[in-house]
Amino acid sequence: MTPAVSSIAAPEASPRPRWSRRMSPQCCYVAAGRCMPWLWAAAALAATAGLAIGLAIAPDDATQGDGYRIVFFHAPAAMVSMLLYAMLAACALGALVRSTRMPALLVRAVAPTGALMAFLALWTGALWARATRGVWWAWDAGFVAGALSFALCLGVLALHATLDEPRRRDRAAALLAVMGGVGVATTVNLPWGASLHGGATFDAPLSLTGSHAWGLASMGVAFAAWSIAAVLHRLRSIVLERENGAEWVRHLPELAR
Amino acid sequence: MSDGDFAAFLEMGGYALYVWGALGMCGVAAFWEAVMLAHRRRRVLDDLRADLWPAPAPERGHGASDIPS
Repeated sequence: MTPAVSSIAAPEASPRPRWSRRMSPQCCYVAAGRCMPWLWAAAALAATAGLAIGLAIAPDDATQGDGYRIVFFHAPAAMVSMLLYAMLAACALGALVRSTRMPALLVRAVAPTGALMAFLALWTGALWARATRGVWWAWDAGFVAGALSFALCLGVLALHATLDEPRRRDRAAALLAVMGGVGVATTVNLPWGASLHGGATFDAPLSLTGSHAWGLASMGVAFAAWSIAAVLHRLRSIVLERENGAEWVRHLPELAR
Repeated sequence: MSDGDFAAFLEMGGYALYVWGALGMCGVAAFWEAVMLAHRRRRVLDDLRADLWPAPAPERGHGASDIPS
């Protein structure tokens, strides 16, 4: 006769915490706190290297001279803002279909940084368009997607703030984020031109090789690490706001007098 | 690096406004976000401490001597 003990004892004896337990606010709070110092350090190091390469070491462009150096700010900000919006929509979808608490909190943690990155992408994009084409704005996929995600990130936060009941406001904000995600995804993929910026942006495409690529990669890491660290930092505050009566919160060392 | 080199660096081949404008706004945004994050964390921790250890009710002086009779 084979012992049937294992199947009975399995849930309790499992050496690793179960997924639902690891997604608990407490575990997320602690894990986020452990990750943050590394992310801040990575952001600082990568930004230092990226700025040195992008502003000083990398040679200027044959067509755009030194004006092309905006790419070291614009491309990372635009890419990270799109990634953050994808993350926002994914968390919102998770909040709508699952009953765990963390996705809804993550939606609110991602939205402000998403708005900030979209704003930076628009700002640097406007400067770049002005420098190369003499216009501050163009109706191309890049600008429209940036404006959409900026407005939607702020809209999600504003909608959340206008409602009172916790579950309703979480659901409403998540719905807006998911519906808006359809709009952003459609805009980015619209064939409005040969490329993200209508194909007419530059007389000659940038040749981004060697030090350019290293500079871009460093700045990309810097923007991404900063954004994740900021999201985790905000998530920790949101968790404390939501869990303010919980037992584990009372015993946090940072609350000791 | 001589002064001329540095001046040329600042000039950015005529694109100073655009390149430094991009860098400057990124710096302002990072600083602003860091300040807002720190502010929010301090506020929630202060609120939690106030809940955990409510400030003692303001005591009347012994025998309420400060109330004119």
